This record gives sequence, structure tokens and C-alpha cells, in this order.
Amino acid sequence: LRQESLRDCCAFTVPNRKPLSPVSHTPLEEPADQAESDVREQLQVSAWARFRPLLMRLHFYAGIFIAPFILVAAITGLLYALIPQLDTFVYRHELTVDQVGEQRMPLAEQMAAVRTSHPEGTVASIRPPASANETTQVTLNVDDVAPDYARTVFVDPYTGEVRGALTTFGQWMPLRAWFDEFHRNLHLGAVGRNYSELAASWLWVIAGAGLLLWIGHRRGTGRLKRLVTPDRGASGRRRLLSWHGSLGVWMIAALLLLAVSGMTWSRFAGANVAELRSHLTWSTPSVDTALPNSTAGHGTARQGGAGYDEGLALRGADTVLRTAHDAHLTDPMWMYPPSSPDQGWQVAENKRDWPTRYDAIAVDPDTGALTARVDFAEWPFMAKLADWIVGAHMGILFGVVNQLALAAVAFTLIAAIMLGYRMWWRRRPTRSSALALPTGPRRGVLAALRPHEATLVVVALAGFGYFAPLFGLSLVAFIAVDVVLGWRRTRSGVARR
Amino acid sequence: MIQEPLLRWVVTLLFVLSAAECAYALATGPRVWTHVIGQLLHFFMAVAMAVMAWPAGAALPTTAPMVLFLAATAWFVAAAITRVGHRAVDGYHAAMMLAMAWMYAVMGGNLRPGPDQAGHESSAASMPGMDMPAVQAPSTAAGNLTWIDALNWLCTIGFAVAAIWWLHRYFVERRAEPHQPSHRHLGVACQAMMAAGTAIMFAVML
Repeated sequence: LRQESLRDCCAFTVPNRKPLSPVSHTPLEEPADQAESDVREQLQVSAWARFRPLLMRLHFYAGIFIAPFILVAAITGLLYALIPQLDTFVYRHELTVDQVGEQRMPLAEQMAAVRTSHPEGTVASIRPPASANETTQVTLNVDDVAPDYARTVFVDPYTGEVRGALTTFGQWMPLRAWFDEFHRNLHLGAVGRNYSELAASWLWVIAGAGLLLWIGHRRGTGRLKRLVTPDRGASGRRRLLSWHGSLGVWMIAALLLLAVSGMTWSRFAGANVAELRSHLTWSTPSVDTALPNSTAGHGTARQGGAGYDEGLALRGADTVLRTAHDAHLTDPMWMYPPSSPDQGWQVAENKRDWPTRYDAIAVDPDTGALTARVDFAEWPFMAKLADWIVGAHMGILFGVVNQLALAAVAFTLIAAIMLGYRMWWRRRPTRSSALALPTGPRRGVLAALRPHEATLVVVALAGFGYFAPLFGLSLVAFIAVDVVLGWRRTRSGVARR
Repeated sequence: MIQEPLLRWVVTLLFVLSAAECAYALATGPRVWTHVIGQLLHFFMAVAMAVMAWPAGAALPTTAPMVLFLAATAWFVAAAITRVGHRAVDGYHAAMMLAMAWMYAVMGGNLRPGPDQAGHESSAASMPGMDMPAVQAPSTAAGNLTWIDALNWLCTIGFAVAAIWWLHRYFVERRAEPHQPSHRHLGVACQAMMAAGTAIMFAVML
């Protein structure tokens, strides 16, 4: 189509009026005409020169407005990474026995002791001791705790003494569960999850754009080999920038890993990630607990036996444990009783540190026969990788080394954010007596790209914005504010003339 | 209606912005009657699409808007024939209006054969993303369903490509006229938004 035909198209083109000054390109730093000439010049220059303003604008504005969320996530994540040892120490009475005995009691007798002291709720799982001095953990689904939480009763496997009961979140004790929730949602419920989703959705954008800018800066100054080392001799803003950039390079891989895994837990993007994994058959496989001769449909037995007589549901626990050992399942493992007569027990390894083990079996409680098995080795590679990434994010994949690495990344991230704000603050106008905020990179960066490049950028951002809705919404909000500010500048520019 | 809330809001935003641009162009543009009618038709289309995305909108009658958009199609076809130099654009607008009429026809359930036509009932043909009137899909009507779905696919892909084309066009114009403020190119951006919204509406019908 010819340009004219588009302009004259009856339906959609805005009619020609007097040419206005190019106020929609009004930069925040440079005079308008200088920005225009920049745009024109950039049409002929290298890809880096065309993309740099876009990267700068993304990194700058996302950094300014999203970094507080990332900062909070870094601080709460740091606390979470340091808590496991404290958690084990605080709950040592419940987690361990006073004296290791000669012979463990049968699980049935331990369960009887638990139900005598805690008859409430239904039994969701049993975790036999993983070492000689550990207690048996029996998790109950009860109504008087927050959603997703349960009550875990700790029983001495040698004496049957109930050593305590705690409100737990999965396998986390209360202290770790508190910091876990603090990191996830600041104890603000569903609304609070938005903060961590915003942080995770934007983190890779900010970090990726920052890395490219830093590489471009080092190339431009002929110091590409010094990508990871700050300029010691520099001063002022250059020194801050060199530290900000170097720290960013040190932690870029970890930040990308944290962002990707963080998004899997998020409220909206997490749902899309789960759907994507399901479509690509990357989901974690589950063992079929349906008994072979049952007429009912297939299913898994993790519902905790609600609506099914508990005496029947828990029968054969010791037989099932023997079968699990015969099947070479090793501790730590969790046993899940059936929730209906046509299901068997599920026994699953849950060793989350390296080397991870998640073999799972289904066992008929009456005969002790192994009816189904899914080994970790059979998992799709991407399901394994997802588990490892999540384990690394939680600081449990490589134990103390993992925790220390996470703490180091958290400290580095906090430092890089503070340096970034410091650089921004140093850009503020200081000649006026009134407080003035620093200005940002100029507008009109998309128009500086080649049309197909700009189109690709918009389509990519829109696609990711749909996949990660909070990213999309916040981006739309940024653009809306930017458009309003540009419009106001346009109006004031016209009024002045 | 679109069942997924986020997608519903995205489509609503796209068409509300498009309607606003059409209203702006109407208010500030030339008082040439062909221009006014063209803008009005696009304004109606944007509003109709925004309404259609919502539960209340899906319950509204479909015959009257279907007739309106068929008339709009005729208008743009006539424009394409008579206005030399604008045929491609007018033809595109005609296709878009025809797609609107088609969407109303599918929503009204008039095109999909009912149980009376087939003589026996079979499983329902659901439209995963949209709330459509209950439709029975007899096995004898498989051919009909195939061509309806094929047309919906065609519209989805066609308008997705159109959205990308208009977006590209928008940046081409901005690059060609860097002196002009960005709002001077809103008409083309509005085209991209309408095409994208229409593609999404057809996509959720698949």
C-alpha cells in the first residue's frame, strides 16, 4: 500500500492538520530537537546503537519502580535461606528422641499413640524416622489451621511417647514456614503474592537489559575484559556504575534461575507455567494408587483418607513400610494412606538434596503387593530440571553451600539495587533550590528501531505480558503514565508557543 | 463472551481504545460524509466487540448487529470499487466487517446444525473459550463443523497477521515522519489493536 492511501483511508487516519512540534518525542534529558536528530541518526547506525536506548529505558524505569519489590524479595529470601539450621535447633525436642532405643515400635502402635493424644482431623501422611534419633512424624489434616497448613504430631518410635504437635506447612516446621510465607506473600495472603510475582516477572528483564548495557558500556570504553571487575581508580558516578555493573555480572546466572523458579510459584504466571509444563509433558509424574482389581477409576491417594473409615485406611501400614524397604525405597520417605477402599497406599521418597531421590510406589495394604511404581529416573528431564531449579532456589539442593550461595546472591543483589538508586539520585538537578527528581532516559526509543525490530519487541512484550499478567499490567501502567506525561509536555509546549 | 477474565479485559481495553480513537477522529476529522460513515462503522464495531466479550453482551440479540455489519461490508465493498487507490485498505475493512457479521452468525447458533436437522442427538460441540448457545453436534454435521472451524481458524490467523502488519505499518509511518507527534499515527495503531482484538475473539472460539 502506498503511504498516501493509508493516510487518506476514509476510516482510520487522523486528518492532516497543521504540523505540530514533535513533542511526543520530547526527551527527559535532552532538548527536543536534539532528540529528533538522535532518532534520525539512529536509523542509520548499528543495531547496538538502535537498541541501547530501549534497553536503557527498560532497565532504568523497571529498576526505579520494580526494584523495591525485588529488594524486599532479596531481604526476605536472605532470611529464608539462613533459617533451616535455626529451625532444626528450635524444634529439636519434637524432631529428635532423647534416647535411641533397641527396637522401633510397629507403625500401627505409634499411630494408636498419636490418635489417642490427637484424635482430631484425619491422617494425611506418615514420615518414618530417616535416622536412628529422629521421631516419626504423623501429619493430620485439621480444620483449625490456615489453608495449606496441617498439624504434625511427633512420636518417639521406641517408646510411643508423643513429643509434641506443631502447625506445619508441607514438611516445614513453623519457623521456616513463617519465613517461607514471609518471602512468598509478606503474610498478606493472596494480595501479598503479587509482590513476589512482580519481582520475579521483572527480575530477568532488568537483569538481562542491565547485562547487555554493561557489556555495551565495557565494549565502548575498550574494557570488555574487565566485565567482572569494578574500576578501583574511578570516582563518583563512574565508580558506582562500575560496581553496579560488575556485581550484576557476578550474579546474573543466579538471578535468572531465581526469576524462572520464582515465577513457577507465582499466582498468575505460575498457573500459566503449570499449564505449559502440562502441555509439554514436563509435569512431575505421579504413581497410580488404584488397586488392580478395583472397579473404580484411577487416582492418587494424597487426599488423606477423608470420608473413609480411618481404621480401614490405616490398616497394613507396617506391611506397606516393609514392601517399601523391599522395593529399595530409602529414607526420607512419606507414606500416604488411601482415601477410598479401591486405592492402595502411596509411599514416596522425598530426598530433595543432591543426589535427589523421588521414587514412588503404590502398595496393596492387604497383601503387601507393589501395584505401581514411578522412579525418579523415569521422570521427563525437564521435570527433573524444574525440581532441581526449585531446590536450588529454596537452598536445599546442595545444603549449606547452597544456602551460602543464596545468601551471597541476596547480599549482592541488595548492594546492586542500592548502588542503582544511588546513581539515579546523583543525576538529579542540583542548581535549583527546590527538590527535583532525577530525569530518566528520553522517550521515543521504539521509533528509533527499525520497524520490524520495533514490531518484534512489541509482540514479544505483549506475549510475555499475557503469560505473566502482572508484568503485562505493570508495563501497560508504565506506558499509560508515559503517554500522559508526553501528552502533558506536548500541551505545555504548544501553549508556550 | 470470553471466559478468561484477563483475556476479556485485554480485548475490552483494545476495543475501548479503538472506539475512543474512532470517536476522536470523528470529532476532529473532516465533515465529509464518507469519512463520517466509515468512522461510525468502525466505532460501532469496536463497541460491539467490547460488549461481546462480556457475559451480558453475549446474551444480547445477534440478528440486528449481524445485518448492520453485513451492510457495513457492502459499504466498504462499494468504497473499494469506487475509490481507486484505496482498494486494498477498503477491501480489508470490508473483510473485517464481514468477519463481524460471521462472528454474530456463529454466536447466534444459526450456522451450526441443531438436533432437529440431524434427527438424533450427539455430543455437544463446545467452544472452549467462549460462552456460546448450547449447540448439538450430530455426527452427520461433522462436515459443517469442519468448515465453520476452518473459517474461524482463517479469521484468527488472518487478523493476527493483519495486527502485525498494521503494527509494522505504524512504526514505518513514525519512522517516515519523525517530526510528527506520535498521536498523529493513532489511526494505524488503532487498526493494529482492532485486528489483534478480533484475532483473539476468533481464537477463543476455536
